[in-house]
Amino acid sequence: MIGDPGIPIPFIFYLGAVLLLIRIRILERIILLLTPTLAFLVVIFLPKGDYHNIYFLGYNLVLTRLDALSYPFAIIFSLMAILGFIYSIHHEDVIQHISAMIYSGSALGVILAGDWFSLYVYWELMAISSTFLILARKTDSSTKAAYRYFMVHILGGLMLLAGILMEVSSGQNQGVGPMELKGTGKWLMFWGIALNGAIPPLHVWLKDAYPESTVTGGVFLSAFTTKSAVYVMARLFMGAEVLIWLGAIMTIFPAFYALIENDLRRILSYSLVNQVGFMMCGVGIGTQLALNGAVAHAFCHIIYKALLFMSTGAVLHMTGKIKCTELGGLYKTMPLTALFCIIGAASNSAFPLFSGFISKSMIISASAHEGLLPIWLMLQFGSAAVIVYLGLRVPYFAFFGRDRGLRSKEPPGNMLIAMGICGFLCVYLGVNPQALYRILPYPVDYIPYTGVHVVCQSQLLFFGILAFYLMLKGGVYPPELKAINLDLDWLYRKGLGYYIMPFVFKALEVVNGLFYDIFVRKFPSGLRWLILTLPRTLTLVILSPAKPFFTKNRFQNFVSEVLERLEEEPGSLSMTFAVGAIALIWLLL
Amino acid sequence: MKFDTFTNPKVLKVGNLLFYLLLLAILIGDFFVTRHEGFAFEKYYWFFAAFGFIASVLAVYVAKILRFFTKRKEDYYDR
Repeated sequence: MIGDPGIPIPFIFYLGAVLLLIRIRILERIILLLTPTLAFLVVIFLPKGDYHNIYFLGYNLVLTRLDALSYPFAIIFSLMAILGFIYSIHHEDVIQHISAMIYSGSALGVILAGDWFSLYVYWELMAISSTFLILARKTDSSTKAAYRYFMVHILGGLMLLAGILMEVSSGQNQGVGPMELKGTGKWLMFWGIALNGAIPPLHVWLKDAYPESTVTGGVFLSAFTTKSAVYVMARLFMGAEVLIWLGAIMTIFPAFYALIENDLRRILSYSLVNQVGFMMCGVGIGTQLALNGAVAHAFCHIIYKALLFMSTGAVLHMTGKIKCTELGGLYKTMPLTALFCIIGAASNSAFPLFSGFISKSMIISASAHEGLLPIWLMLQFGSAAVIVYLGLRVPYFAFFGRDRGLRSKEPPGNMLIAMGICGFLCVYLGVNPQALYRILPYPVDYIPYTGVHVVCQSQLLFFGILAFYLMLKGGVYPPELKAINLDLDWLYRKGLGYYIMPFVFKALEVVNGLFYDIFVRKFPSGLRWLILTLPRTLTLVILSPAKPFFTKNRFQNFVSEVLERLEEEPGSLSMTFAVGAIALIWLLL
Repeated sequence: MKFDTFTNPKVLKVGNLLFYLLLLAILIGDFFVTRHEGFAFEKYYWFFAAFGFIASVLAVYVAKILRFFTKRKEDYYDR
C-alpha cells in the first residue's frame, strides 16, 4: 500500500520536470515513464480525503482534495500522462518534455485543488506550460498561434481570477464547491472556465491552436485543458441551466465546420468541442445519471481522442503531411496505425462495444429522463452526424480514399505501443462498462447494453454510414479543398482584436486593484514594496536587450506596446505576469 | 510490409454485400426488442434509421452552405 506521499501529486511532476534538466538520455526515459506512473499509483492507493493543508496569509490552502468527483478525473489524468509520455518518449526535445510534465502536473493540480488560490495558480501554470507544446513546433504559423493561444488564456485566467476575488472579498464564499450561478463574480468565473472548456463563443482558440501543436503536444493538449474545465464546471456550477443549452449547441455547430475542414487535426479539434458539449450538457442537467454520464464521457473521451490525435500525429510524423488534400491510401503501408485510428473513430462515434457508447448514452438518456425534448434531439443529431464529419471522414481521407502514392512506414514502436494501449482501453471499457461505472461519483444502475438500445444506436450509425457512402458516390459529399474556413477567431486575427486590447487592459487594472486589496495589503510594507516592484523590474531588465527585436511586425509591436504601458503604469501585477511569461517564452526558444 | 486488400474488387464486393446484410439485420432486429421508455415517437419502427440517415444528409448540406460563406484561401490570415 502507498499512502500519502508527503508532497502534493503535482509536485511529483514538477520534480520530474526538474530532473529532466540533467540531460542523460537513459535517465530521461526512466523519468518520463516513472513520474506519471508514480502519480497514478498514488492516486489509486490514496484514501479519499483532504491532504496538505497549509495556512498561508490568512487563508487555508488545501493542496490535495480527493473525493468522489475528483477521483475519476485524477485517475484518467495520470493514466493519460503515462500514455502521452510513452507516445513521446522517442524525441529528444527536452523543452517539450518539461512543459508536458508541468502541464500534466498542473492539470492534476486543478483537479485536486481544494481552495481558490491553488486552483488559480495551477490553472495559470497549465496555460503557460501548454503554450510551449505549440511553440515547440517552431514554425512561423505555430509561433503566431501560440501567441494567440496564450493571450486568450491569460484573458480567461484573469476572468476566473476576477471572479474568484469578487467572491472571496464578498465574504460569503464557502470555498471551492457548488454555487448558484448568480451575480457578476460568479458569471466572470463561469466564463473564465467556459473559455478553457471551449464553450462558444469562446471556443475558437482550440481549433486555432491545437492543430498547430507538435505531434506529441497535440496528444497532451487534447486531454487536459478542456476536461479540467468540465471538472471545475461540475464542481462549481452543477445543474446550471445555461450549461444545458450551451452544451447542446456545442454538439451541433462544430459538425458543420469539421465537414468542410481540410486539416485532419483541425477536424479532431472541432470534434473535441462537440464531445465536450455532451459533457457540459450532462453537467448542466445535473442529475446523478447526467453527472455520472459527463464524468464517464470525459474518461472515455480522453482516451479515444488521444488515440485519434496519436494516429493522425503518427501520420504527420511519418509523412510530414496532415491535410486531406495531401493524404490517402496510407493503410497499405501503415495498417496498424489505420486500425488504431478506426478504433478511435468507432469509439468517438459511440458504436456498441466501443467506449463512447457506454458513456455518451448516459447523458442522452438523462436528457430523456428529464423530458428535455429539444435537447435530446440536438444531442441525437450530434451523435448521428459524427459519422459523416469524423467517424468515417478521418480514417477514410487519411488511410483510404484517393491513393496519393505515399508509402510511409509505421511510426516508431513506442508510438504504436501507446496507440495499442489506448485502443485496448477503448474496447475494454466498451465491453466492460462496470470497470468504469465503479469509480463514478454516484452509484450507477444504468445498463447500456439493452436490446433496444443496441439496435437503435446501430440503426442511427449504420444508416449514417449508408448516407456517407451514397453521398460520396453521388458527389454530394463536400470534396476536400485547399482552403480554410472563417470562424470567430477572425475577430482577433484580422485587426479588430488590436482595438479591443485597450479595453482588456482597463479591465486588468481593476483586477490588479482587487488583487492588491485582498492579498498584497496583508504583507509587511517592505515585502509589499518588493512584490510590487520586483517582477516588473525583473521583466524590464530581462526584456530590455530583446526590445530591438520587437519591432518587425504587428505582433512584436504589440509586445513592445505592452512594455511601454508597463513602464508608464507601475504596480500592474497581472500585466507583469503576462509580459514576464512572454519574455520567458521568447528567451527559451 | 504492404497490404492491398481494400483495392481488390472481390473483397469490396463481399464487403458491400455484408454491409447491406447488416443494415437489413438491424432493421429486422427492431421487431424483436421491447421498448419501455423514452419519447412517444421513439416507438415507431425504424425511427433511428431514418433519423441517422436524414441527420447525416442534413449535416452535409448545411456544411456546404456554410462553406459557401466561410471559405477563404489558405494564406488569408497571412496577407
